[in-house]
Amino acid sequence: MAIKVGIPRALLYYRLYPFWKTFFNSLGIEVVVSDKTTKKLLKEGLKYVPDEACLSIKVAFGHVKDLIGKVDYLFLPRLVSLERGTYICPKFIGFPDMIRSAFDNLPPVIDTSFNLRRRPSNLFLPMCRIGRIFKKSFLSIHQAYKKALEEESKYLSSLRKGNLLPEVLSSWEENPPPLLNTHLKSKSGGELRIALVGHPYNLYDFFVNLNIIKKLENLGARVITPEMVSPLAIKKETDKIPQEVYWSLGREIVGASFYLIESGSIDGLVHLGSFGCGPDSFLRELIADKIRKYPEIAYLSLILDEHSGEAGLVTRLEAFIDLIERRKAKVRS
Amino acid sequence: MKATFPHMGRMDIFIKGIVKALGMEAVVPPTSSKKALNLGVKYAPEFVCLPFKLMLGNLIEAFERGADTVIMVSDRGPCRLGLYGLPMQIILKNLGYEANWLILNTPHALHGLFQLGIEKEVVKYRDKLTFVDGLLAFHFGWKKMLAIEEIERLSLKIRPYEINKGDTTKGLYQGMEAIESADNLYDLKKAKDAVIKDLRSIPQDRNRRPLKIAIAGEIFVVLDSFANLDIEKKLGELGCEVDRTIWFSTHILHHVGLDKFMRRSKGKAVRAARPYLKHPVGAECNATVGYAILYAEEGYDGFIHLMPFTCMPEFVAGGVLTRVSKDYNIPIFTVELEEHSSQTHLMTRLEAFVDLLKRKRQKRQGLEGSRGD
Repeated sequence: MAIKVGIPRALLYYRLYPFWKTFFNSLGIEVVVSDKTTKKLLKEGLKYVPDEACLSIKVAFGHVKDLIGKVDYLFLPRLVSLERGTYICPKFIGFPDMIRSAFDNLPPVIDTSFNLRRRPSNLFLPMCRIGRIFKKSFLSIHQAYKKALEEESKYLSSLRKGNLLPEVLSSWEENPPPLLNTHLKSKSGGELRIALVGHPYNLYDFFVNLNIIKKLENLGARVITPEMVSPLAIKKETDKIPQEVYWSLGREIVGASFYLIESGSIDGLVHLGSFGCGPDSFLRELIADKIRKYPEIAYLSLILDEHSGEAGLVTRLEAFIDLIERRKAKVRS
Repeated sequence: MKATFPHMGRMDIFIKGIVKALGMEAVVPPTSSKKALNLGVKYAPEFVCLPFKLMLGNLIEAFERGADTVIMVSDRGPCRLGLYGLPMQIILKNLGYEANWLILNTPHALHGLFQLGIEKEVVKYRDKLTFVDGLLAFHFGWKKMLAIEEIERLSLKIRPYEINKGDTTKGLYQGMEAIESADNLYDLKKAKDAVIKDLRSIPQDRNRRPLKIAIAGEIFVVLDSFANLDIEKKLGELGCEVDRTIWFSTHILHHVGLDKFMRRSKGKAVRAARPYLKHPVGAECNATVGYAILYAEEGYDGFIHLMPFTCMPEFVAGGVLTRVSKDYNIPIFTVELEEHSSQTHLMTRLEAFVDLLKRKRQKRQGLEGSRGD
């Protein structure tokens, strides 16, 4: 029987899953992903998490709880930094340690550090360490690593073509969440172009954000996310900021929002933050300041928590879309 | 140039000492107060941590007094402190305060001072002053800071024994004023000796056996008595001998690499935390966990972990501390501080915590009972 490695469907799963999956599968290791986020799963996690956690960490605890007992190894890489000179978030660095402190009956945890802050070319080393845990040969690890990188670049280029992440990710997933099948396939979608920015684990977890992408599309909007903006454009925008934004996701959010705002290709921008998120509190300030100079772009800032009500969200989105449409009608007349 | 800086504990005494000795001008914002906090809360982003809100309030008050240059520290992450300057500039600009920002882009104290030395605005002063002047000024400020810390340490030792509640605190505040007004090293020494004598002569009941509690956590809230609601004083008056893990001087010494031989250095704490935290998380996180372990091994009765609400590194520490508390059998009390924290609320919780510690001690010593109250 193949060894089973569990990956929680939370945090950077939405970005890195194709990479991890290809790597493990090429080594002959089976990958088990935790269930989709549900109320029950979140509640189970809440029993273990310190109360002051941000929503994303609470969700992640739920997913880890879901995997316990189902897998031989728990894969919680310590993601310190994935780019030169940046961090992800301090909570990501301490996440495996927090999990170890909170749960008693954990399967062995793979918590290899990924620290590419000083040397971005250093990705193979941690991959080797992971492979050696399963006593694989260096040759096969290298082959798996190469293959994983290929898949990763395929994934990213597909995202940059303007496809929504859940659609793209579904071709790697075993049983993609059914919500996606109802997704508006036609690219012409709506005529309103709305940028939806935020951390990927808020944008694409349909339980956490109450399926906001579909709601926006039903209201006749075409959603643009930070993943669709090229890294070069993001770098150009963030270089203009006097101080360096050193959270890699934060930098992406700010850079992409600035780029989209300046290019004039969007009618509105929605910032999706989670309750208690540290970086979000600053990013929101930066984005709001920028957008103040562009009165033609509507701006909506949403904060998600585990008590978010669907009706409240729908009302706010409808009002937001109404506002944009009325503005457009005014310009036309 | 009328430079200003946000408060952090009694850091203003250190900076004022340097500025005074150099004959420069500095606008020191009024001591952190409810007013500064309210100003900060009004204009700061909602989920930002308490230090940001207090610092923003300080700066607004300083601008009202005519400051035009802000000196701000910064580093390269991952804690939010490194980016404080960015949203602050935006917020203050929108409020109509145009200022010149000197952002010292480094966590390293000496490098920061060097950077400050070559700033355009500061260079103007360099015609009149020599390098030795600067060095002497720094030395004077440093001595002043050490004197303040010495009497603070002493007050922590004396407070649980005092017979009339509040004597120590009164003596401490008077002593701080006396030290603050000292103009040269001779006066400083004289003032310090007088204060120490005064504090020692406070009527004490040496038969008490106070509980021993250590305080650690995020540096700003540990150092700043306004931000932490005077927790040291409260604990002292509840009859506990408090030891604070972070002092301004130890923090600077750690960054310069000179604290290696101190009994409880940050480096030692970080090493002690290694079984629980395998990678440096940032800010004081690893040290907080390590201090809990070190103090538990020394036989302390309790440990208080201070953190601002939504603080990222200390949140990780808080999660790990639950396990440390179990493994080392030391009660750990995490206090989250935010703008709504109230004195009475904290007091009630502290009383409960101290009661718990007392009972634990009684249990350990059989039923002989402690005379610790």
